[in-house]
Amino acid sequence: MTSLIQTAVELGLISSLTVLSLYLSYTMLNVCDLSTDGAFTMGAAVGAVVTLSGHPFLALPVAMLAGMTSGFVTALLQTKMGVDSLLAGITVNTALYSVNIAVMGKSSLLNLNSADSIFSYASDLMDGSLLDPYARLVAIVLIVILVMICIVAFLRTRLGLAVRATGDNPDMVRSSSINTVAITITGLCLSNSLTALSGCLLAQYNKSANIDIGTGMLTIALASLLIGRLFFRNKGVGHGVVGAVIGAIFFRLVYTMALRLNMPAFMLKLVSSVIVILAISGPYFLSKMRKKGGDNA
Amino acid sequence: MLKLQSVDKTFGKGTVNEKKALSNINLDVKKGDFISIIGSNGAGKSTLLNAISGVFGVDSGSIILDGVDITRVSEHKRASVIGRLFQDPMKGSAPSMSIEDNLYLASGKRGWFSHMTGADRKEFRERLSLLGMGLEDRMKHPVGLLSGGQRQALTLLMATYNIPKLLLLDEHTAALDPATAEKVLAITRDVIEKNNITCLMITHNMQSALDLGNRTIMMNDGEIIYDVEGDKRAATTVEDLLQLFKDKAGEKLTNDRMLLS
Ligand SMILES: Nc1ncnc2c1ncn2[C@@H]1O[C@H](COP(=O)(O)OP(=O)(O)O)[C@@H](O)[C@H]1O
Ligand SMILES: [Mg+2]
Repeated sequence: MTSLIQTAVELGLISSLTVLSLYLSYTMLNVCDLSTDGAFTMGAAVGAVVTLSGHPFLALPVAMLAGMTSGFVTALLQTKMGVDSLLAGITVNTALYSVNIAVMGKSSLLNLNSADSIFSYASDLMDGSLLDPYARLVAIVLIVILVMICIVAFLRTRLGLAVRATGDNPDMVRSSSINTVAITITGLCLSNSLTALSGCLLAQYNKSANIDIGTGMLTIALASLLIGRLFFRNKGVGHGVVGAVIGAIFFRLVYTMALRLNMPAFMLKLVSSVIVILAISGPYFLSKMRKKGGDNA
Repeated sequence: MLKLQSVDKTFGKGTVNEKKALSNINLDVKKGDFISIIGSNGAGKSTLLNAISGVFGVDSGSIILDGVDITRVSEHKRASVIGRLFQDPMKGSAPSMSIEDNLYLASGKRGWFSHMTGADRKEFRERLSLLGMGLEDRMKHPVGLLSGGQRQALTLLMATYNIPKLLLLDEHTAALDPATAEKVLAITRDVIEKNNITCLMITHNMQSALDLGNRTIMMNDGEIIYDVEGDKRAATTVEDLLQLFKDKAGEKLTNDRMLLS
């Protein structure tokens, strides 16, 4: 049971990087980036190829760079080429399917069983020590904490403030000297690099990458993000970032429990969709009810 | 310092909604001028300010700021030297960000990757206290919690944090209650006089159009129909303005929000 929980926490932490990516694009920049699934798979595919070539650590930044490129294209389409923001995401997502198969050498599955990964390094490093059974967890925790610190620090820079303002009040930014195009590009590049990192880590963790690894990630991450929001309502970015990670872990734990209660695994995507719908339309109906109550009073 | 030469702007050209909003506008604004702009609804006052700030391109004519032709310069590039305030107090600041975050963004201090320092906060506190609205004690509060008047005062501080070459105010007190509007107007006058800012201010308040600034422009149907300054302006009353408008435009000056006193 403890190992079951540990696995859930590990998977939750890995997906928390995608949740943090959405925290940047969806919560901060107010862009719904529909290329998330493809970018996740791209991170896994690129990461797997580099890992297989014997460079598991290099795989992380290379995957991030690949994600960044995909984010750049999505951003360019919607800021410079007149493509609607949602359509930009969908088309990039579709294109990435071909790109990812090509990256994986015309195959839809890459096996990393025989390759070293950051997790096998972590296990070797902590071999025989007290941390031995937690080697993978420790590795992931370190990475997630590092990313959290970077995001909070970024959101407090002037550039980060500009990203937040662009999502918060586009009118204001448009009438200021801030270049919204550059800000949107920056935001989507950063967020997609995190999505890809998330995918790369999952590939190394699962010791395999397949073309469907990212399917449904957007909805799952969105569900986690919205759950995380319940923990810290309307607080600063520090709380928001912690909330996103907690939401991701919480989501995975609940899912694991549901599996234990005999929910079939294929239900994951339905459940995450329902959570997203509830989390978005719940407050909507509540505010409508309140308004009605106010009218009657 | 600001020159508009034969500026024309027509909206919806070739459609049934075609509307000539600016018609052969010539305007020469001197450095330090504080010009109030009055006119009926739809006279083209906002369109004039929008053309200067680059919200849209003009059909013909040129706009020259400090000797540089900015007719084709993008809106955000112009914004680095032109400050703007709108009627809606919600438009000028980011509601879920704190007062100090909004100020830090507006201050344009140092590089894009710099963080706010204690010295910055001290400076913000001083500048905020000059507004006399108690905002200096709420620097970590989200701007969304402020009242309309507080938010408009903050926007004014943000727009003038680095003294702009030109400040454009579009009925920026029209959405506020009379007492608050008075207060924000007093702050506006203060900031402009202290820093000798060149300013164009659209107002629906005939009295403040004459009280504030050194020059008054009257617009009707996309044209500047009257332009007065100096002694002649000093001797003008609100009644004179209304009569003048009637003579020149052939109809009464009407504005939903018009205040005669
Ligand atoms: N973006 C726009 N598109 C179409 N018509 C516009 C636009 N902006 C202003 N107009 C029209 O131009 C005329 C002048 O408007 P405006 O400058 O806003 O008047 P005001 O003097 O009341 O500020 C009005 O008839 C208005 O309907
Ligand atoms: Mg107007």
